[in-house]
Amino acid sequence: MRRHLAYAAGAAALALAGCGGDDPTPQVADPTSSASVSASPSASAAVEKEAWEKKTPEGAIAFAELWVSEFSTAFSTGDTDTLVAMSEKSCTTCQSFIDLIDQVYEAGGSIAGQPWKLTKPAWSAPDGADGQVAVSGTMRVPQQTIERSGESPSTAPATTQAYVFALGWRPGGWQVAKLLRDSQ
Amino acid sequence: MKWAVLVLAIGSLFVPSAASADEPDVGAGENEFVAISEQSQNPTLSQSGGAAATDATSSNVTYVLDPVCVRGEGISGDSFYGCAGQQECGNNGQLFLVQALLPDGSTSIEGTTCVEPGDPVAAATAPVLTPGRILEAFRRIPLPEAPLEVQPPGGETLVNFDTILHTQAEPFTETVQLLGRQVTFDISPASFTWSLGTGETMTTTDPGRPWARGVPMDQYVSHRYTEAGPVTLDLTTTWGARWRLGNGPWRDVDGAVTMTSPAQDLQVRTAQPQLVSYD
Repeated sequence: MRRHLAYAAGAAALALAGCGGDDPTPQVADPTSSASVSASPSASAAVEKEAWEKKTPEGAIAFAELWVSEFSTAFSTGDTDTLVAMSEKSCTTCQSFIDLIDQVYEAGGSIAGQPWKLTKPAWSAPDGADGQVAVSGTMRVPQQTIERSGESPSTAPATTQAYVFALGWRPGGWQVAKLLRDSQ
Repeated sequence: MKWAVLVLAIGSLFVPSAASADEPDVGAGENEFVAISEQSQNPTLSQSGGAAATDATSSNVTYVLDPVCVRGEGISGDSFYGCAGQQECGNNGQLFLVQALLPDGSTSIEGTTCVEPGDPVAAATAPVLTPGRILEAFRRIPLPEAPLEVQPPGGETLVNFDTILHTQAEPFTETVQLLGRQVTFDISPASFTWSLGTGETMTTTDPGRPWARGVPMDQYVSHRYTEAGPVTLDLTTTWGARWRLGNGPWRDVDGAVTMTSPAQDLQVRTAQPQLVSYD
């Protein structure tokens, strides 16, 4: 949980650096060089990175799992800040999820349900897709109830759905560029 | 031609379920997030299947397949190469990621598809052995050390003296498994770039040779320093390769790999003539 908050804080710092009026050059560490630093024996004092902070296939899978975990936290609490930081604006599905959560909670409603879980995650790094990695897997979607004020609760049964995350490596780390419900 | 087959075949795979195409509204009891993700899909996939495939091909969208790799296999370091195990699906099928190559040069990940034995699409998956993957495989082959050797030995040489440089780098072959196929690389040193420590470099196709009595100086890779002082030399060897599938024809690898030897310090000295008398 602490690391999740750290991710949000880091993302906020990046956003501020990008908007700084006095300094046109954001002071953002280069992900490639930071990755190489972590591999250097001379950087032994550096804090060990979380799996989802690494620019590796395993890092991409761990990030997709973290995104699902943060999504579950967001729909349970109404706090979408971390989810926003982990999702590109171009990810229409991500933005729709965030909008739904915001709308329900801002109207005084709530969403109840067990966390979603991405099972059997696998990866693919397509040729030519500049730095993009796809993480696919089966999403376990538990029963979920949405309560909106003035309406009766709406309960959806548990289901499983195939999803594909298209992840891009950005200056702050991974971000979800696209989220697809997969028809296979 | 292969792409045309692939495009048509994949087009037929992308027939979304009736629920996703015909029921965009959230129904009673349906998970709203799941419903949203159906509505937010790429328009080319959320339309009715046949029409979407036709539209996509007519606007010069090409679909390519890449293997979906099992977690934890074939991953090394910071690399995205190494799908040692492909995700299985269906009836002994293999899972592929579908990527659209758009007319503007951009790419779009469109989902996955399961290719089962006997499926006509299986034959069209051959293009996954792309030049990029071949080059990645070549880059991962450990190359032999090509140390920089300097003569005279001992870290000292003289101004205006032929300082001989050489290394050992022999061609070799290596066979690897790539996407379940046997690929053989014929690897050889293509060029040697000798950094002389003076800001000058010298590139040769010859690895040089150690000094031997009677060999003319033009048979060596050598350099004459014109000024005294310390210099640091290094050698960058560029390896090229050709590859073949099984016993098929050889094809050039589209790229090279360079390897730089550890630096060597050399003290260039000026010889002082001294008269010596023998009594």
